[in-house]
Amino acid sequence: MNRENSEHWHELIQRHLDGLASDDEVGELSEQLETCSETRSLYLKLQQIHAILLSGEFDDPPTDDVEDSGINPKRLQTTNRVLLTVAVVALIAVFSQAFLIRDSRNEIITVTSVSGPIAWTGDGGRVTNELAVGEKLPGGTMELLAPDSFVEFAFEDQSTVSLAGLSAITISTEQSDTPSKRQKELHLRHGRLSASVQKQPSGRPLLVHTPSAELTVLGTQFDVETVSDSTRLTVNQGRVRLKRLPDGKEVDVPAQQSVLASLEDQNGLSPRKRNSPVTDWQSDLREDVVKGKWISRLWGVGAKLKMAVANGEMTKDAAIKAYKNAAHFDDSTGSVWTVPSPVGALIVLSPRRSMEQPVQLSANTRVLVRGQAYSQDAMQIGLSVGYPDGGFAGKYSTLIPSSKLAGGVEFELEIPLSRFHNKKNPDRSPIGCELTDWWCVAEASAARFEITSVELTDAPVTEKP
Amino acid sequence: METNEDHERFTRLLIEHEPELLRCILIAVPNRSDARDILQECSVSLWRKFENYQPDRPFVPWALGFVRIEIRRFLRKSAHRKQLTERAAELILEDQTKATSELEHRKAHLQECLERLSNPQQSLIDGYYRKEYSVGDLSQQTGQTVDAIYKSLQRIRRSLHDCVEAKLRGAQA
Repeated sequence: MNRENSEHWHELIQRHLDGLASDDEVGELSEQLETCSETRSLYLKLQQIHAILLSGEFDDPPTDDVEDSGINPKRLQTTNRVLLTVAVVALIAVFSQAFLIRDSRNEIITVTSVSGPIAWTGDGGRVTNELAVGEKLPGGTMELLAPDSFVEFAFEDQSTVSLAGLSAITISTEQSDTPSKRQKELHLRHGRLSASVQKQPSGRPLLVHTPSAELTVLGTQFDVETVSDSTRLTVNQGRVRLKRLPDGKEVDVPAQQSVLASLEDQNGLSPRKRNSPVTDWQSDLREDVVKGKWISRLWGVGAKLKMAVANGEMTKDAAIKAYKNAAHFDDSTGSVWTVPSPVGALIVLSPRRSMEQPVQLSANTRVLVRGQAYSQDAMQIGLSVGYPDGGFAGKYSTLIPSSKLAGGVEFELEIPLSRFHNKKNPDRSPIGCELTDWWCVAEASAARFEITSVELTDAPVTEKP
Repeated sequence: METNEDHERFTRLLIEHEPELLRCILIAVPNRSDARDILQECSVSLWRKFENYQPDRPFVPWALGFVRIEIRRFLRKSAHRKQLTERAAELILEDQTKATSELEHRKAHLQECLERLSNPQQSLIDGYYRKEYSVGDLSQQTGQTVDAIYKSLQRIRRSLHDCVEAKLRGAQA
């Protein structure tokens, strides 16, 4: 490595360690590290300095045990804000570039319904947060920013696509002078999509790409939900072909069946008949969390005691004894903490992550929520629901006043379904619909809530002795 | 079947060696928040497999196997998020394993080199690493531009690197 090269790698490695390197730069660095032992040596030396300073090994004992319990609100807030900004900027940069070389003149979709905050990045990098019904848009990227955001749009052939909750999608069509012959492509980055697709031109099926699967659609009605490492497809009418990435295994999913394609589990890929719904749900917080910070009990207790030792409030032996007594080493127990988001401090849970059966709401459904407030803020609790035969049915929410959520005090809420309202369609009832998301949000991003349990039940209320 | 003694032993080992494990994760995943998440997942895996741990063997090398699995899982999940390739991360971790004997010397030298920084330089490092201020926060506090702050940080770390290397060469000579 000559001096000029050395300077280059010095700077690039530092930018990577600070999280400032671009995708291309990280790619360039990866390639260099894979082939040059000298650069790896330099990386390790710089990284050791960075890691030792980051891991706090030279720090003085901290004075605020909350700050150092691993759940410092400033730390969370800052990290999430930075990540969000970086992600949005990266997304805008990548896709505005991509669409500049695509069909940049034609409008390909029309917005047919919209609610809640949505960011749209279209051709040439046009960015707007104000989509309106009837607006015609070219290809671009749509990001739904709140758990109660919703958008529906239609292609020229009247195929419709709707997205609900925290979701992001990129929409494109190939170039063609005849709009009806364009092949449609959707890239669902994360979240949930429901589509009703008209018969597509021969040889030009609608394609839906997710991080873990590719769907080929000729004409049908289906729902897709994707997270970073898995995609669940549920077909309501017709048939959809799913290809699992990266092994390329394919399966045809017929009506009323669903399949899960996972990057983690590369075994079977067999469609299953949709399960009969249940009416009770006890959240598995660790598995169900879509947005929020899951902290295992093992971790939370350990972090607090560790700080108590560092502060000189406890001896190491006493902390270990306390830890042993407090923690039951059940690694599935823990709680979910709000994280800052553009719409406030937020938690979103999805029962579909841990439950095979859908959770159906009935007139007797009650929502039980336990947790602790660490700030005096009102909180909105919401339910996103879908129709049993596919498609989104709406968002229902209720406001819990701050008087019921005193800072530092545990709370237990029991809310009947009748208290949840659909702001957009007040007369619509969620009874008979299936739960897709449970969420809570406080307007202030700095608000802090810890949720320890969420339950839905329609069992009769038993009198307490 | 785990016992109270297992709980105690595991807790002791985890508390004692957590900084080493965190440091190892930070090699491949420099973002502190991501690294903490990985460590959390890792501690759960370690507990699940603790019955396989042989007490007469050192804990860290055993635990590092789990750390690598969690790092790999994280990198695979976040392949779209400006992370090193799995191959590059693997090679660095392998090189790091070979160089562990030097680490304690490096740490000691780094502490000495930190003490030799000027007050403003120490304050910048303290703000960025310990207080976790962003470069933007530091720019507002000091009235300097973001670019100037970041350049200063890069220069300080470069000088720390040169200082540690010089001390290591001196010790070897």
